Parts: sequence; C-alpha cells; structure tokens
Amino acid sequence: MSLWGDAFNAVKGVVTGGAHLAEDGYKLATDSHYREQAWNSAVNDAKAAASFVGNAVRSADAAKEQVGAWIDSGEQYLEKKVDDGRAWLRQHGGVVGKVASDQIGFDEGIATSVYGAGKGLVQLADGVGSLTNPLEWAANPGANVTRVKSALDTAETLGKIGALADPTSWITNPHDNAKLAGALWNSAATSFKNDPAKFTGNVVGTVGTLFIPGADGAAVAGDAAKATELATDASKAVAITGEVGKASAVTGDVGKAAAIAGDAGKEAAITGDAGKAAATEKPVQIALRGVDHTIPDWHMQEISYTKRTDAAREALRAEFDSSVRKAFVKDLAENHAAALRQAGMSHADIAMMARGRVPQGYQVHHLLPLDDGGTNATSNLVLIKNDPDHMLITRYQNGETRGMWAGETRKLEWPMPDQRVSVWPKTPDGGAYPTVH
Amino acid sequence: MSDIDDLLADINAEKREFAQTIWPPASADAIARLRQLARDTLRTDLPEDYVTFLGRNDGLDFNGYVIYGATEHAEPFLSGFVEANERLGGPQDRYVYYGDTGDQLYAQDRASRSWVALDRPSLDVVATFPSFDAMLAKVLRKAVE
Repeated sequence: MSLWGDAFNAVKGVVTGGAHLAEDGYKLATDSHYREQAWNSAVNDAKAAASFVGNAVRSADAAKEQVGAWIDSGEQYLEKKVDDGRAWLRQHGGVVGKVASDQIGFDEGIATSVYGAGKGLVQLADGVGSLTNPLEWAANPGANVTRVKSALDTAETLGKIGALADPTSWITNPHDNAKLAGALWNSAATSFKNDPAKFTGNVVGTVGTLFIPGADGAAVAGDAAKATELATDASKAVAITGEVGKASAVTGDVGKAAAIAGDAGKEAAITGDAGKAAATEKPVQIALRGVDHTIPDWHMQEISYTKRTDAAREALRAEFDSSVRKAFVKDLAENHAAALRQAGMSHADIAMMARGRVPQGYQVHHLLPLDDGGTNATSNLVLIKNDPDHMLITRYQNGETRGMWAGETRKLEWPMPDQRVSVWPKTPDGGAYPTVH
Repeated sequence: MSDIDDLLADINAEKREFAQTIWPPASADAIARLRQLARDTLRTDLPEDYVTFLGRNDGLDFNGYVIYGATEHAEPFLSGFVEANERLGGPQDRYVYYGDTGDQLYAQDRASRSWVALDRPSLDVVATFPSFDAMLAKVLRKAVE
C-alpha cells in the first residue's frame, strides 16, 4: 500500500476508535479499565495517524486535498457521535454523568486535535496564505510547554473559562499564540465556544502533538499530576507526543514552512516581550576589557529563555544560512537605504548588500537567539556593528546561557532595543560607549 | 592551488568589486609578536595553519564571517586575535577563538584540542573539524554561498 494509503487508513482508524468511544459512552464512564484500553488504543492510532500524515504530506502532494477533506468529514462524524453520547450522559447520569461527559469531552478534544494536526500539516504544505507557522510550536517546545501549563492551571478552575468572551485570552500570550498556532489553534479555539472541556483537551492535544519531548515534558507531567482529573489525562497527552508529530512529521517541512511563515506570526515573538520591556527599561551596561559599556536605546528585558533541542536550533540555522540572511540584507538595501546611509554605510556597502552580502564590520544578530525561542523572522534580526556592540551583547549572553540543557528554562535579563531597529547603531557614533560612573 | 586559496581568491575578487578592504599578509614581525602575545596572555600556541592564513591575509571579514587578524585594525574595524579572545573569554576560557559570524564562534577547545563551531550565545558545539584549515575552509565556503 502506498504511504498515502497508509495515512488514510491510519486516520480512519483514529476516527473509528473515537466513534467506538462515543458509542460506548456509558461503559466508558463507568469502567476505568475499559476506558484505559480505549484510550491507549486511540493514542496508538493517533500516533500512527500523525506520523503517516506527516510523511504523506511530504511525499504525496497531489493527494493532500483529498485527505484533508476526509479528515474534515471524519472529524465531524466523530464529534457528532461523541456529542450525542455526552448529551445522553448529561441528561440521564446526574452529577456523575456530567463529570463523565466532561471527561469524554476532554478525551475527544485530544483525539480531534490529532485531526487538527493532520489538517494543519496538509494546509501547511499547501501554502495556505492565512496559515502562520505551526512548526514554531514544534521548534519552540519550551514556550509551548509554558502555555500548556497555563492551560492546565486554568483547567483547575474550569468554571471561570466559560466567562471569558475571547477563548484565546486565557492562555498566557493569546495574541502570539493565536498567530503562531495558525490553523491548529483556530481548530481548538472554535471548539471552546461550545465546550470548554473539549477545548482544554484540544489545546493540550494540539500542542502535545507537535511537542518535542524533553525535560519540560516531565515538568508538564508533574504539573498535570498536581492538577485535577483532567490534568491526569493531560499528562498522557504529552506522553503521546513522544513519537507523534515530533520532528519527523514536522521538521521535514521546514522549507515549506519558511515560505509560509509570514512576519506577522514571527513578529509576535518579539512584540510580545517588547510590551513588557517598556515597564522595565533597565539600561544595558556590560563590562568589556574591564570597562563598563552602555548601549544606548537598549534595555535589559526579562525573558524566559528555554533552550531548544539541537535539532530544532540547527534546522533554523540552516534556514538562516541558506536564505534568510541574504534576503534580510537585500531587503535592507532595497527598502531601507536611507537608514543604512544614516548609519554611515557607503554606496559600495549598500550595493554589496543588494547582492545579499553582509557589509564589512557588521553581522546579522538574532535578538532572541535560535538557541532559545528566537526565529528567523525579520523582526528578530538586526544588522549590528561587530565592535563593540555585538561583542558586548555576545559576551554577556554567553555568561547567561552557558551550560543549559535542552528544555531547561531560565528567567534572564536580555539586551533588547527599545524600539524596532533594523540596523544598529543608527548613526556612526550612536553605538555603545564606555560608561561614566 | 588549495581549496582555501581558491575560496580566498573568489572572496577577494568580490571584495574588490565593492571596494571592501582586503587586508594584506601579516608581516613576519607581526606574526612573531602575535605568537608571543598568545603565549603570554592567552597561554596558547598558534597553530601553523592559522599562521599560514595570516601570511595570506591579515584577517578576513566577508559577508559577516570574520577570521581574526594578527593585529586589530581600526578603520575598517577587524578584531585582532588577542583582543577578540580577551573580549570573549580570556586565558581562563575553555576555548581559544579564531573567528566568528552572527550566530557562531569558531574556536579550539583547550582541553581536547578539537576545532569547533560554537553556537552563539550558548557555546554549544554545533560542528567539529579535524584541523584549523578544515574549519577555515568551511567558514570560507559558507561565506561565499
């Protein structure tokens, strides 16, 4: 059977499993062993589905729309069946039935999120313009874990969720999340409107499906264990993901993602923290050659630095080296020549940049490093003078991040410009200077 | 002509086209001073491959890729080997740095003697090379990509 055929059957298996869950709603609610078996079965099928869908997306472009449509129809079928079962439980099961109904909703959320992931990959490969970069969720597991934790915390007080008008607002960074999650997030957010319990499951499952396992996974599971009954299943959701979307299903499409990844989604990575920065405004003062230096118009901003896996970081670096740096520099030359001249660059420098070459004495700096949650978005890049500005920043950053392991998170103060700058310093004498005490 | 010579010839041709500075070979005196400074201040001996490179060009800065010079140049700026190492780490640092780019540093591990590319800022090893020349060739190829 073709790979695509395998994917088709794998997805179908999940839908069928989910339908069985719904049909046996009463048994599911009363028999924990049965529920465990059903759950594990659905999880295994989900893993296979996500894996196959991911592979198929890369190898069978022509069939994408067909499978995407099939997933859609399958999801509708599953949801209808499960919702029917839940309605019965709510009507006939009293308080216990209501709890069980919510529990099924949570399980279903996990299951449907797999379809969401499949759809997301299909849409991603199709280059849907409105889709931002869900790969960011896979490449940035630490930040996603933080969001999952937030979701779990909120799940403890589920009743409050319903009062929120905007379903995305109860996640830590709703604006950014909505952009970064793209179609996957939208799928989850839509289901919230009608059913908070299902939404919770969907969020955890969606994020989890694209989660790269690491130490943070354990952290999530630990938090989940502390949480409510819902959280117990949330830890399973994270456990599922060990092999699911993971890098294999996702990172293979990095190239395609880069084509799609609009600056809007990437911008969020920066602008979200920029807002916080305004409140801090601690100046950037770093010692170099035994002398404190100040970088004017920059400030120390508190960030949550979560170290990426080597594979995720190097995938982004390869993208940066092969195309992003060149495109960034060309864009500066073609659209920001006045700023470059103001910075002191010659016509020859700018002509060289128009070819995609970095001018002498400068380098392209990632404000938020690829080692952390930084991306290759234009908004995260600055053409920066090597000495002393870039060296000052690098030396400081080395000291802060040395010895971290993948998945580890540290709260750090990080040098960031007060306002968006594409070239630094803005004038020849506007860069770092020795601090006068 | 070696791979490195070919790459440097390509780079220097492009630099000429855009009126970028091509640093001439470091003088024998400058290299001798550097050897001594490297021992005294950084407690390291310069590899002969690096010395040979300095005999071609006293440092390189092209497309954001930098190989430090025997001396620090002011205008246009190019990091000197000793100066760059003092800025980045100094004699106690695990690595001796020979060059950098926007998101990587090129160095030798003092303990293992291996040549490495390090992530900037985490200093994770992202690539290893059997020699300075192998590392230099990689840097030059990336610079002209």
